[in-house]
Amino acid sequence: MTRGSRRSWLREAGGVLAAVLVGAWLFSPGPRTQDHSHEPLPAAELTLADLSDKTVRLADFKGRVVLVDFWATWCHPCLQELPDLKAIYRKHEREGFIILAVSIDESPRKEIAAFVAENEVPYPVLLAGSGPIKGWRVRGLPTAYLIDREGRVVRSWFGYKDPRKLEESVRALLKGEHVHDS
Amino acid sequence: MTVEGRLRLAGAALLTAAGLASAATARKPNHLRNEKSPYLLQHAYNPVDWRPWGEEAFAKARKESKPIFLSIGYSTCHWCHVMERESFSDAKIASLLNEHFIAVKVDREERPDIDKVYMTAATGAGWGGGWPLNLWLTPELKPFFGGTYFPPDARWGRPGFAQLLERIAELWKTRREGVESDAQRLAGALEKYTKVEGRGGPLEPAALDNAFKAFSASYETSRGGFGGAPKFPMPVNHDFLLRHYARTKEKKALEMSARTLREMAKGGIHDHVGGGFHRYSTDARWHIPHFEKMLYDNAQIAVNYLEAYRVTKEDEFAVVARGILDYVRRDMTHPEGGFYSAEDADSLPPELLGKVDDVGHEHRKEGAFYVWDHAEIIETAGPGEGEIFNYRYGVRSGGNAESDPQGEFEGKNILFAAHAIGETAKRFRKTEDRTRAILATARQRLFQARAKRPRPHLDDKILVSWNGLMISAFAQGAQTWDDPAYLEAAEKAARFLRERLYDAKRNRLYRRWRDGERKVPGIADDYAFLVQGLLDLYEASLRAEWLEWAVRLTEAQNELFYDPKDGGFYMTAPGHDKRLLVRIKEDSDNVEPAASSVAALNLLRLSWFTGRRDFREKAEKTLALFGAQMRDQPRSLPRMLVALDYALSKPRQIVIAGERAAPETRAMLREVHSRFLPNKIVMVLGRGRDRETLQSWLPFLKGVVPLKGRTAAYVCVDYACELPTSDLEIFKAILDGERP
Repeated sequence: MTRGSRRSWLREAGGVLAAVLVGAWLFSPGPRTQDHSHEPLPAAELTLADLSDKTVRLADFKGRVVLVDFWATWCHPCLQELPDLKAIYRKHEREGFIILAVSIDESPRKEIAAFVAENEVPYPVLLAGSGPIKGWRVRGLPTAYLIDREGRVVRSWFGYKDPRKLEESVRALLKGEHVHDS
Repeated sequence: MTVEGRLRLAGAALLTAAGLASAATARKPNHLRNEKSPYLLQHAYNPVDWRPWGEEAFAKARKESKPIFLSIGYSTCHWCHVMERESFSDAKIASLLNEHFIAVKVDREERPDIDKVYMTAATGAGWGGGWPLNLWLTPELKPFFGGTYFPPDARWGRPGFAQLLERIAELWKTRREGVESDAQRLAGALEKYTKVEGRGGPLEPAALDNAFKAFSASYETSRGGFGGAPKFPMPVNHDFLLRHYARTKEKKALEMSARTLREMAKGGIHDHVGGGFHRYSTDARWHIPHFEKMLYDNAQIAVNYLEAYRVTKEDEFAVVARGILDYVRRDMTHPEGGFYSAEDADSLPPELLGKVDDVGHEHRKEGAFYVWDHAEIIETAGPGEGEIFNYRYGVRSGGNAESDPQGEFEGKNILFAAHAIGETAKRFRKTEDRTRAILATARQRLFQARAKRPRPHLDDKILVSWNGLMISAFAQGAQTWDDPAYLEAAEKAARFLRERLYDAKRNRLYRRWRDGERKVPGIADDYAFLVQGLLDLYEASLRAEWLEWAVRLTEAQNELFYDPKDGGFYMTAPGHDKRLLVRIKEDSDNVEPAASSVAALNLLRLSWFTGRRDFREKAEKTLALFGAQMRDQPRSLPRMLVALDYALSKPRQIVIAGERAAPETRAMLREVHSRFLPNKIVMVLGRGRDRETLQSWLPFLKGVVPLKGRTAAYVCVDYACELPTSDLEIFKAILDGERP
């Protein structure tokens, strides 16, 4: 004999109809994503080769608002936020905003170049390799630092960057305003 | 008055009619003789003119305008044996059945779809649920009366089977219209009920906490388990509770599961000599079992103990898990690798060996293979060892069965761990290690003596769904101890299924293989449980071929069983068997989980492996179909709650760049698999075809490469990735969530 746990439906045969609500599954950033605003601090130097082996310095972009974005081709979250970054860049590049995408890939240059071409990354991509980068703390990917027109780090992120907050900060810095947590 | 009421009166009024007629001894086969199911073959020489489920039987019923007597059971079912012996072997009962009915036998393990339809009808109509399930159907297969076990003559408040047959035959002749309209009404209600309406709702984490509360409320503190006797192991409960602990660190969730598992391991439900678990305990102390051993139980229970071991690192859990895996490898494995279905409870008592003809079930006794006399143990194990063994396992000279529902255990002992190792050591003034060694020797001697006893009947058919569960168990055993023997058992079974039960050209599974024959198109359980096994097997073997097969099977599963309108999975494919009254979605996780629950979790895991959004969407829609049921009746769906937990969590993606067999890779895998990390996926990217397969699904994996030539782990959680590392200590810290 067995367990009979089912209720008798013959007696309850007039079941109630209820709408099945299937909510759209929104990918939302979770507790591991960190978003910090800082007392403005001068950014460390950053001198790296780009995809055509030309040396690029952070100092070259003094006077602009710069997002130094550490990423890699294997980093799925980086790939997921790429469309947002591209959109913000395109919208604000003429106002003096630039993104320096620093790859920490171990892969050969040509594979990174192929990835960049395929994904049509419009801003400079610099190659750092997987070793430590002096003056820049990269605890994981994506890690990003937002630098104001005076060359000071004012905000940083680890993990997914809320595109609305990022754009808000970029806009404020372009106008010469301060950024702070809302 | 309903048919049911009329029949109850009929049964009561005819108490005095004939009982057991002399058993027909002529061994003349009926229409079951060419079947392969061990259960059907057990009835092939009954005087009842049994037919298998099929058009031949149904056409005859229509032509002769007779009702169908449908009897459903399985080969290790105690009361099925009893009814076979008492009623189906009886000449008078057989002639009643043959004259007035078309008798059809179904093996529920071969055809759970048929069983599900009629079990739902029988429980819904209030006829009771269980096996054997006996129903009377109109020639259109609509049930109008049923029940479980019937004694041959009225007994224990149940109507006698012979009288019932006479009464039903008479009703069919004199009141057909009423009977048919009852059947029609019931079929309508069945259709309505099985639509799974009104149970949907949004997916909320609150459902998980609520389920924990529901388990807490019914938890039995002293002996573990949930609710009183009879006690089933219910592996799905542990699946949920251990994950609840992993998610919330709620100690009570772990304690409820761990204590229950400890008590089960101590009980008579656990085979202390040969390993493995019997089906359920008739008492609340896990002491007096029904002795059949089912593959689906042992597979899932092994996983419970493996997971409890990963959480607690208690050796006891590891020992029990190994006991199950070694038992299945030894006694339940086909030479080519598939796993058999079950071992019966009953066997010929050793003292009758050579004295009687062991044909049919007549002389077999429940548990005869497993129970012991006090003196026999002293004699077999040796006086010193025997005494210690008997103390430890609660053996008494007059027998130790405190309850004995069928009067089968008089003077016999059902082993249970009455005294702990420490107590036993103290009592006999020995060290614990020495005590363990003595007990191991005694166990070994008993095992050898027992091997000479007549064995219980083995149901050696090979079912895909249950093999899927067992593949998971061996794969998880292989993961836990990095044990190649367990991995080999899992892979060999998977290859067996691929060769024998899979049609690659059509991408379709069959359900059952036995004796060279594959039969019955796969049902949703076959696809879902096998896919789960293959996902676990991939994470143990890191061979992408298993993932590729899992993806293909999932595509077939979605095509055949998924309900695109409301979500959820039907048990059967459209056109599977047009004679089934309804297409049912299993709506509860019972001793076996529901296909929808297992499929939902598989789809979520696979969506991370493959990036397939459609997989994730189907999982979410399936969970949403049962959203309110999970919230309001959580104990009916613990396995679906596991899928909900996964859906709401942020699974870790652990990708190791390195060769599968390299020591550094293995060291990292051992770190992953020694921990209980339910919400994760693991991949290994070496060189060659496996890498290409995984990259074809997730192109970004191309950049996952070793660091400076060394194996490296890439771990991402929740939209953030750790820096890749080749350092085992850093990797361990990442797994433990201790990175800054």
